[in-house]
Formats: sequence, C-alpha cells, structure tokens
Amino acid sequence: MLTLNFQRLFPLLSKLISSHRDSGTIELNRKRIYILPTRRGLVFAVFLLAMLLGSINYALSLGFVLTFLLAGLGLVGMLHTYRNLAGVKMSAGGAAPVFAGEMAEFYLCFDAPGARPAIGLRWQKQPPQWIDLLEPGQQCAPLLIPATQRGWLVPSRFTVFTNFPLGLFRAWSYADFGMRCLVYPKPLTNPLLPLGENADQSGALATQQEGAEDFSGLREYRLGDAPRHVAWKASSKNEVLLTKQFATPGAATLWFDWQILREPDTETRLSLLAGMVLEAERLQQAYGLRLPGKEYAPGVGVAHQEACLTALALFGKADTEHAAAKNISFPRES
Amino acid sequence: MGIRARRTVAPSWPPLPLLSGLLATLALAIAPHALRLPLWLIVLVAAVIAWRYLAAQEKLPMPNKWMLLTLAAAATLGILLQYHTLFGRDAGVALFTLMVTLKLLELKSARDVWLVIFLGYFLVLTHFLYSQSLFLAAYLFFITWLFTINLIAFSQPRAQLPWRTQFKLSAQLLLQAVPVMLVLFVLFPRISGPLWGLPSDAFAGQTGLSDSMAPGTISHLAQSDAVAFRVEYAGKLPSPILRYFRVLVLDRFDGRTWSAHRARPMNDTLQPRGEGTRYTVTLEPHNKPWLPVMDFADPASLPLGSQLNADFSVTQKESVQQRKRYSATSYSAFGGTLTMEADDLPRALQLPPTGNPRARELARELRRASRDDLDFANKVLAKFHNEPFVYTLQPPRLGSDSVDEFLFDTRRGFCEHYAGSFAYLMRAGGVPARIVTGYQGGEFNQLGNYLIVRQADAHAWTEIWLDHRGWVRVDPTAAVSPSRIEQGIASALPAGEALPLFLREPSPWLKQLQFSWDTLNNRWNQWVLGYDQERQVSLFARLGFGIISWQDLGVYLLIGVGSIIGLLALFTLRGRAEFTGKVERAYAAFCTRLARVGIVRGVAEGPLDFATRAKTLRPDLAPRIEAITRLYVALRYGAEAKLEWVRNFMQMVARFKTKR
Repeated sequence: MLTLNFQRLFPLLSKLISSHRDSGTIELNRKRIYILPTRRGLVFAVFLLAMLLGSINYALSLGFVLTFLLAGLGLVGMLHTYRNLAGVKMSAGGAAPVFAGEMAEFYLCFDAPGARPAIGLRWQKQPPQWIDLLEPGQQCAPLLIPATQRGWLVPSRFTVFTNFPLGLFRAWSYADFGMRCLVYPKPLTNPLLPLGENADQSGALATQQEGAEDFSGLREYRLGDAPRHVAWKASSKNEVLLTKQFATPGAATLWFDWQILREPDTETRLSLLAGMVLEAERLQQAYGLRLPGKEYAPGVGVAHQEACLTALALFGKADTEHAAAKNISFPRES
Repeated sequence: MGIRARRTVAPSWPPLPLLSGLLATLALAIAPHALRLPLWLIVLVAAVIAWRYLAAQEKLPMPNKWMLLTLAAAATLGILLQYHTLFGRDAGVALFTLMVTLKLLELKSARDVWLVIFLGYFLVLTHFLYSQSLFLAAYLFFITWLFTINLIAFSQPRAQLPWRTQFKLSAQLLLQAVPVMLVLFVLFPRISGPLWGLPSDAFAGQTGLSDSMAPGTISHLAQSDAVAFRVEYAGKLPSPILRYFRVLVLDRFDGRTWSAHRARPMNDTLQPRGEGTRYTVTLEPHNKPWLPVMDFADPASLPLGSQLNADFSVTQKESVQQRKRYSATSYSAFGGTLTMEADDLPRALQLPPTGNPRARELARELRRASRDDLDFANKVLAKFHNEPFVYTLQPPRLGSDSVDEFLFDTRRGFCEHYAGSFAYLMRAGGVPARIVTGYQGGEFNQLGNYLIVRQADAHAWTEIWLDHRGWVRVDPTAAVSPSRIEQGIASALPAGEALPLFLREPSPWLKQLQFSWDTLNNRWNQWVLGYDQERQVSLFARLGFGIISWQDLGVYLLIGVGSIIGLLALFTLRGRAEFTGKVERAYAAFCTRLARVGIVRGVAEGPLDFATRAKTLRPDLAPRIEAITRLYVALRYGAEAKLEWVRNFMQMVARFKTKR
C-alpha cells in the first residue's frame, strides 16, 4: 500500500541510503525514519476539505469543531505513527541455507522500548510481513524472502514500516545488514539414476561397497547439523544439544560425477547432483562428489553434505567456500 | 512469534468482531436521523445492517452486484418520490445515509472499510444541519470516538490489541487533538455568507412569527417553549409592562388575516425622551429578515446593515439564518415631528367593504357616545374588561365573520383575537389603527443575568393614531387579562386550562436547574455556535490585535498549530523507553515509601545492598522487599523480560505498604 514511491521521488537520496550498509544493532531514530501520508491519509484530507467547505457554507460552528478535531486527530496520528518506529532497535541474526524455490528466512531481532504493534517488514515487491512488538526485551522473527536462484541470496536493503495507529501516515526506515543466505540448487531426482538399497552399478555412478552405515556415537551439536540427526532423547538429559554421528565403513561408496551426467545444462546438472547428495544422505550411504577442478572425498554426515551442497551452490560463482562458512550461522531459538 | 504474510481478503472478511463494531457504530451514528427520515428508509437501513451482520455469520448470502444495484436504484427512486428532489438538505441527507449503508454490503477490501469510516465522520457532520445542541454535540463526540476506534482496529493487519487498549488509544488521540482543534477553531478565518447557494430547505423548520396574523396563529406559536431570543441588559431590567419587543406592524386587513405592507425607512428626525435602555439581543435564527427590538429603538444605536422602519420595526436585508447578536438602545418615547405620510392614513383606516356587520354597528354606536378618539378606545377596552371575555390558549374556531363571532358569540380568544377585533372596531369608528406583533414579557434568568424570551411569549397588540400624540400603544389583552402582561402567560390562563408542560410552574429547584441549563446553553450559543466573523474580529480587537486580517490569522494559525504539534511531539517522544520507564518509576515509588519510614537509599547504593539494609531495618517487610528487588534486578539487568513481569512488578509496588 506504499503509494508514494520514495525511490521514484528522490532517486539520488534513495541511492545514497541504499548504498549505506548497517552493522550490528541500529536504532530507528530521527535520522532514519521517514514519514509521509498514505493514500488513505490523502483521501482523509479530501474528506476534511469537503467537511470544511460544508461547515463554511452552512455556517456550522460544530461542523468546524468536528473538522478541526479530525484534522488534529490526523496530525496527532502522524506523531503516533512516527513514535511507533522510533526507538526500536534492530539487529540481524543469520539465515540458514535453503534450496532454491524455498523461502529464505533472514532472522531479524528487535528490541522495542515500549509496545509497538503492527510493524511491517517489506522486501522489494513482496507482500509485507507483520510483527507486533508488545513485550520488553528482544524479539526475533524471520523475514521471508523467496530464494529463486542458487548461490548467495543477498537481499541488501529492506524496509521496516508502520501505519499504526490510524493508517493515515506511513513511517518507514531502510535497513541493510549485509545479510546473505546460501541457496543450494533446487534438488532434482533423476529417474534414470535410481539410488536405492540395492543401487546397481549403472554407468553414471561408480559405486563402491564399503559396508552398512553404523551409528558411532554422539557429539555436541554444531550449527548447521540437520535436525533429524539431533539426538533429542539424549539431549533432553543433557544441558547441550547432541548430534548423532555415523561411521560409514563398508558401505558402497557412490561417486557423483559432473562429467558423467549427460544433461547439457549446468543448472540441471547441479540440481541433479544436489538431488543425489540428498538421497545418499537420506540413505546414509557414503558418497563422493567430483566437479570440474574439485573433488570431495567420499563421506557421509552433515558436514560432508553441507560441503558438497555448498560447492554445488557456488559452482561457477566468484565466491569461495571459505567465505561462505563464516556466514552460515543459525540464530538461537527465539 | 512468526510473521504471516498479509491477510488476503477472504469472503469472511472483515472478521466478525471488527465488522460488528463497525455496524454498531454506524447504526448509532445514523440513529439521530431516525426521526427525520421516512419510516421506510429507516426500516431499509436497519434491514441492510442486519443483513450484513447475518451474512458475516453465514446465515444469509451476500447480495450480488445486480441485487445491490437494483436495491440502490429502487431506494433512490423512493427518496425522489418522497422529497420530489434528490438535492436539498433533507433529500441529500436521506440519500447520503442510504449510500453509506449500502456500502456495507460491498466491503471487499480494507479500502472499502476505511471509506465507510470516513463517510461515517461525514455522517456525523450532517446532524449539525439540524441541531447543534449541547446534548447532540456530546453524543456525536462519542460517535467520533467510536469511529476512531474502528479506524485503529482496522489499521492492525495482524493480531488485535486488547479492546480496552484500543478504546484508550482512541480517547488519547482525540484528547491530544483537542488543543489543535481549539487553535484552529479560534484562528481559522471565518467568512460571512455561504460559498454557494443553499438549498431552499436548508433552514426549514425554524419557528417564529410569520408575516401575517389570523385567529390562531399566535396561540399556536404560544405552545412552543423554543427560545426566540435572549436579552442582556446593560442596566436595570425593565419592568414587565415595558418589555414589548416589536417585530412587525400589520396594517392590511382582508376580513380574516392581518398582513404587512412593505416597510419604508424612518424619515422623521427623532428626539429621544427620558432615559435609554441599552441591551444586547441574541436572536435565534427564524429565517425571516426582522430583528426584534424593545419599543422604541434609537436608529443611531442599531447594528450595521439593519434599518429602522417608519413603524419602528427593524429589518435587515437577509433572513436571519444563524443565531444573531446585536445591541440597541430603546427609549420609552420619542418626541419630534412624527408624521403620517399621505398614503398612511387611508391604509390605517382600510377595511374590507363588507363583512362583520355587528362589529361595524357597535363601533359606530360607541364612537357616537364618545367625546374623542381616546375616549372611544377606552370604551371598547372597558367592554372587553367588563363583559365575560375569556383569555385562553384554546380559542374556538371562527367562521367568515370572525370579528363578529368573537365579539358577540364565542368571547374566548388569545391576544390576536383581542388585538384584531380592537383594531377592527377602531377603524370602523374612524380611528387609524394597526396591529403590532412581537414578544412581551419574558423570563429573567438570574443565574445568567439575562432575559429569556420564548415563542410562548409571542404577543399581538395594537396602536392607534391620536392627533398631537402620534401612534399610541393600546394592549387590549391587558384589559381582559392584566396578569398576562405583568406576570406572563402561565398566570393569565384560566385555572382549568391544560397548560403546555413547560408553562406549568415547576418546583424551585427544578426552576433553578432550568436556569442553569439555559445559562449553559446561552454560553454555548454565544461562544461556540455564535463564533462568527464578527465575534472573531471583536475577540482579537479586545485582545489588542486591532482589526485582524485573514492573512494575520493564517500566520497565527500556522504558528499555533505548529507549536502545539511541537509540544505534543516533545511530550509523546520524550521518555521513549516506556517499559524501562515504568519499571524505574515503580522502583522509585518503592524507594520513596521506604524513605518515608526512614530507610533512605544512598546515592551510590545498589538495589541489592539497599534491600539487604532495608530487610535488617524492617524484618517484617523482608519477604516483600526481597521479591520486589529480585524482580527489579531481573527486569533491569536480566537478559529477558516479559510484559507480564512489568505488570506484576508494578502491582507488587502498588501493594507495598510500610505501615506496621
């Protein structure tokens, strides 16, 4: 419902703002909050004008009183709308990797000085998402952004806004925490390459039997571990989360090789490989990955899967794996 | 703590609680129109509101586009048939009410809802076309508050705040808007006169004297307790027998009805005699151009734009459509050369050629037996006084020879009967005579120090022309019922006659209450409703601004509104940390309470140290001090806090008593 397109009205200013990158915690204040009437506010003003003309024409003193009271209401509403954003502290959490086609969840944390209902978050042309900050202390919520392509999803600037309480004005602010989310290729399963308990040695896959998977023990939970490997029962008795570890001795080793795939299209190949990685991981079969110029020795487990999927996500992109690892962090449960 | 995507507009939108609130508010906003709108329209409006409510509960289907169009067209036609127009005040209000209501059946998006709310605000304004009384103003302020709650409720796309919070917020916003309203109200430049032509029915339904008098017109008016005008006297209140307020002079008689010729301005030079009475009239609008003045107004004292006529009535160019305030000075008599113009005399003697034969005969008889014109008049008055004439609010109906029937048969009448027949007899006896209509008496409000003159005080009397004396007032009603003139209408009516409720003598405290209420209304009229260009200019002149122009007002207006918004901004944006602020204030209250019993917190003393010290000094309070301090530390320094904790903390402090 943002009708006055700020970017169109003030392109230069907008550019200046968008190039600014925030770090750490920002506080929404006078320097950051913009406020303009909404379309609803403009219609309200037209109504007030009509009421004023009626009052003048019919010399209705109480008509003046009502019109001026509503005008005052509008102005006071503007202050309250501004106040609804003012003093809110905002910081960025992380975003767990997702597959293309899913929604990336960029965690944002807010600390409101008082009750601040109906705060909207908007990214580009996506429908806004709402959060009510009614409790003291920190509150976190994900900003959902569709992940369309593999690689790094960098939403850069998003808008935090509010129309509360009357909807006649909109106060908004921009924030860019430099957040990014790793997007894995959308996994595809290849019907020609069935991966099952008895995967036969068809041409595309070099399978090497190394023995059945084996539960080998527990270790402390690390960020990025798949939730299904979390040993919930064991964790409940301990202070920390524990992850199950599996040894992969003896099972057949699968090699997923870029070169062997016949599909001409890079993206499809990557998607197929991602599908294979997931399937192998589901079956807890050790697998290795060969990409042009890169090879991942066979293995199984969360860290291995993550390394393989990251490699697929960033295949052909400038960014390196190393940089990625630093950014992948999962926010604490809010 | 998830975030959901924007609510999509489902058929079940708006949610039932929100919709119910909107429907109820709209119904309450329309309610005062119920007595003015035709019954079928009221039924239709109620049915549409009920329909929308049942549709929201899925007990009835929503109407489709065609049904809606048909309904709108049919109802519009109905209004057209009812009022013979779609414009004008009454038809316009009916149409507007209809359209706002029908919009309820077409709430598809948030946009439709806020349009209905804005139209609702406008609906509130339409009531002021009919009445601007204090009661209605209070009621409509309440309605405005309700509409604002709706606006707030529909501005929350997700979960609703508790209703109580929304009620409070709406009240808070409106109260904060009041200073802005006051500044705008006082400073917004007023213009006189309408911007465009007003519909002919804009001021319909205002009561007052009409420009003619027939048997029954004034007694009908006397049933109304509506205030005609209020008078503030600069000096002493004149006695009732002097309080004749002249409105119109009627000198044309067609056998039944007395009416006025076009008034001509006073050309004679007047020399006031005796002491003048200075007063200010606040006239209720009556949609006629005349201004009541006490007999006899000094032309030099009259307000600008008004004119003293040769018959001592005062008129202005336009009809009085708003409450009007004006001052005048009146003298009990004027000396000088009062002349009758050439065509005045035949006019003052004119009678229809036929009719009322018995009255003509009586006049000739009495005139023959009289020494002069004055003696003749006294003989007629004596007849009224001595014969069994009755003064009554319910005179019998009269036929074609109304004067004859009244004088010889019915003998029951109100002031217009006595004045009319007296003037007839005078003319028939060759004495120039005319009718004066106006108001007489009034009720003094000691509380507000002003005279209230109601429509019930409407009166008709006569004037006869005497050589060397000019026009002399003769009030035949006084001959029949002197108490009408001295004590007012209530005392003059026969004991058995049913009085209108307001004319009955109430108990003293009720009278006091009535006076207080009227005083309040008078102030309201003077300062709120009567605040027009004239008042605005005079207010600023009195404040020492001189004659203020609208440009000046505009500048002051911007400064005023700007500084109020600035102050409000300071006020609302100060103390941004509301949660912490609440906790700190509560803790300070806790410390103050302990300080009162001698346990003062040191400047650098931490809360925990302070608590330990306090506990040893007041072991009886130890558990409470402990609990409060723990929660305080958790709220101020802990990583986590909940709104509930803040509330608990404030409650604990509120309940903390240091009394042993």
